Amino acid sequence: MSRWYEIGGLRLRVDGEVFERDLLAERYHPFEATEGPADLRVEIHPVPGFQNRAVAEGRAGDDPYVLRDGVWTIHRLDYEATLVGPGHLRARTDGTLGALNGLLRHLLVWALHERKGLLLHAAGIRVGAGIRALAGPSGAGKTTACRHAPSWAMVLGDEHLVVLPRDDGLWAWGTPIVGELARPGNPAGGPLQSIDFIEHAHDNVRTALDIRETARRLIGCTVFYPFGRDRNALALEACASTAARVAAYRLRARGDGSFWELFAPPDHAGVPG
Amino acid sequence: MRFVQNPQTAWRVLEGHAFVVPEGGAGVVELDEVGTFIWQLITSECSLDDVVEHICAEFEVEPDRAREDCVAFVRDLGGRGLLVIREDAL
Repeated sequence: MSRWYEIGGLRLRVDGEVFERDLLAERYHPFEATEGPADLRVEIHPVPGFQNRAVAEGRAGDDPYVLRDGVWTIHRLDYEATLVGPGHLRARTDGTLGALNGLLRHLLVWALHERKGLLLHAAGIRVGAGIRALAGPSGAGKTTACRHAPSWAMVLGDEHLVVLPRDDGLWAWGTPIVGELARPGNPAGGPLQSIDFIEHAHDNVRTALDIRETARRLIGCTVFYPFGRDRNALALEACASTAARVAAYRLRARGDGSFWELFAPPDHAGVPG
Repeated sequence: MRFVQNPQTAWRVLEGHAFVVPEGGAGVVELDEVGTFIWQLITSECSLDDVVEHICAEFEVEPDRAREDCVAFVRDLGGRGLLVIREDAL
């Protein structure tokens, strides 16, 4: 069985069964696309109860990425995947949504870095036509921010945001991979207005960052996979070029959502709960 | 001691600071102005004396202090796998 999805303008084909069908339908449904050529492809060979022995027995060690005869293999506890072609993974998995999300992350990173794009650890919020990214590691406050989002802010997701350069500037899109918000992501995209590196605080303060500080923080919030020097160089280049093209801020934010007043469009006043 | 950048690293200088990505991708290192200067020198193998001489020519620093800082730099980056070091050339 094959399914097609579109994420950040990239078309994904998924062949094979995912056991958690209801969850898959809920989380990936908004991203469904028509049948046709794909930029990314996952072939899933689900094995009920699959556990990657190399990982379970500790044989994968600290290096779950193995390059042999020019072909990368990725070892995770819930899947073993081989990169059989550019943007094409073949995987034995436990058939869970978590495994599919893991595979998708790898494919997105592979494809985005080639296009000078990034997969950010960021919540995405659309305000008007533009996208605001709230970036940060787990625990920084992305999900809390999404839970307090006001009615004029459309939440695209609380976990990952695709960022890609286009002729008219940087754009960002939501992805199906969501965090603790535990509700479907939104495939909407738009011009990236800003990246705010969010952190918990007792006050709400937004401070502009210079390019170097932006790059430093972007590198920390970008999904990297160790596919060798050339791929790492692409990721670094994408971080540097993104840092030079986007307005970025350090955002100290209270956990009650009151920081949203800093983002309110001019025709809105007050902060919803 | 002779040392050179690990050829498996990826790096880029941004606003005067080098960002260096180790082969494994995790633990990106940002170098300060002097570290960036050294990093750009060691695209080919250098001796400690070579590097100290260049540092003293470029920055206002005494040779002993430059050597001390350079050794610390090499130990630090070497420990992170960012350099290839030949101790036998001491």
